[in-house]
Amino acid sequence: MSGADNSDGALWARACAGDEHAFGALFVRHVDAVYAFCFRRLGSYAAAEDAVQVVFMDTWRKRDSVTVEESLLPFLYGVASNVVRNASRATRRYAGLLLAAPHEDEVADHADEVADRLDDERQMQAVLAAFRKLPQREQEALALCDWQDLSHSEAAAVLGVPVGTVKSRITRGRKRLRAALGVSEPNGVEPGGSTSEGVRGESS
Amino acid sequence: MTVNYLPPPRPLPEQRVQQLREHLQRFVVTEREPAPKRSRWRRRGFLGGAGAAILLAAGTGTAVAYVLLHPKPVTNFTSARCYRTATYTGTGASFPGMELASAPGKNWAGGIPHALDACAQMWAGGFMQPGLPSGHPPQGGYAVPPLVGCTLPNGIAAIFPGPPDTCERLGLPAQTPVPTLHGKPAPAITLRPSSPG
Repeated sequence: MSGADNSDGALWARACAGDEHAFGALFVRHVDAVYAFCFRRLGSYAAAEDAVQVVFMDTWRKRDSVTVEESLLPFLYGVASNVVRNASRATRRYAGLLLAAPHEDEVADHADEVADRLDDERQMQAVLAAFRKLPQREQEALALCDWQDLSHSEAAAVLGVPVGTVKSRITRGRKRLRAALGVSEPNGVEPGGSTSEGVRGESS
Repeated sequence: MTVNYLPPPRPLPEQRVQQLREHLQRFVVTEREPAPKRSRWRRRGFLGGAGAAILLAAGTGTAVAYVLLHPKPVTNFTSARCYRTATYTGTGASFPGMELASAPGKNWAGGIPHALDACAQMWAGGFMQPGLPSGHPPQGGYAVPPLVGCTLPNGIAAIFPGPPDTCERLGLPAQTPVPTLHGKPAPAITLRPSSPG
C-alpha cells in the first residue's frame, strides 16, 4: 500500500504508527455510519453520541488485534454491536473520558431540528420495542444488513458466522419484525427472498 | 433509507464532529504513551522510613508517639479512579473524575498496576481539566498537580490531587506499597501523632 494514499488501510497504519490525525481522519470518515448504527440500536441521539465515542476508543485500544485491508467500517460495526448490547456498562467503562454534550446555551436554538429529532427518537423507540423481542442474533443480522446496508458476506465477517447463517437469521428476523410492526412486505419480495429490500447483492 | 419503518438518518452536526475528533485525538495521544516501567515496588524504602520514624519518636521520650495509619494494598487492578478533586463520597458509579479500565490492547492489558502514573498521564493530557478544553494542549502538556494514592474499600486504587495527608483527611487508607510517580516515591505515606498519654 502507498504511504501517501488515504485509504482506510493507509490511515490505520499511520494511526498505529503514532499519527493521531490519521485516526481523526478515520473518525470523520466513518462517524456518520457508526452514529446511525448506534442511534438505531439505542433509540436516543444522546446515547448514540456517547456510544460512538466508546466505539472509537475501544477500537483504538484494540489496535494491536486489528488488521485493516480495505475498510475499517466492518470492524467498527463489530465493536459497535458489542457496545450497544450493553451500552450503559460500556459507557461506564469510559466514565470521565467521554466528551460531554454541549450545554444548551452553547447550541444554536433550532426548534424545528430539535422537534424532528424528538420525533425520530419516538419513532425509533417504537421500532425497537418490537425489534428487541427478536433473538439477539437476528437483531444483529438485521441491523447490519437491513439498517446499515452491509452485504451478507460483510455481515458474516462482522458477526463471525457463515454467510448462510446470516441469510437465515435475516429471513426469520425480517418476518418476525414486520409482523410485530404490522408493516407489509416490500413490493414483489417475499420474506426470505434472496434479494430482498435493504440487502445488497453478494459479491462472493 | 432502505427500509420504510426507520426515521431518516441524521448526521452529527459538523461542529460536533470536529469537537469529538479533537477529543479522540487527545485520547489517542494519551493512550499511546507507555507508562513508565518500574522494576519493583519500593516496599523497602517505605518500611525503612516508617521504622525510622517510630524509633525516633521512642528515642526522644516525648509524649508523642507516631503510629502509622493502616495503609492498604490495592487488590483490584482491573480499574483505577482518577479524581479531579479531593472529595470522596463512596464507591458508587458517580464521582468527580474518570475511571480507567483495563482492556485488551497495548496499555493496561493486564490491569493497572501503576495508577498514579496513569492518572498523571490523564492530567497531562488535559482530560482532568474542567470542561475538557478543546484544541491543542499547551506546550509540554497540562499541569499535573501533586497526586496521592489511596485505596478504596473495594480494593481499587484512587488517585486524588492534594497534599500527603489527603487519604487521611478523606478517611481512606493510603496505598501500600508506596505508589510512585515516574519511578520516584510519591508522598503518600502519612504519619500522625497519637493522643498524648
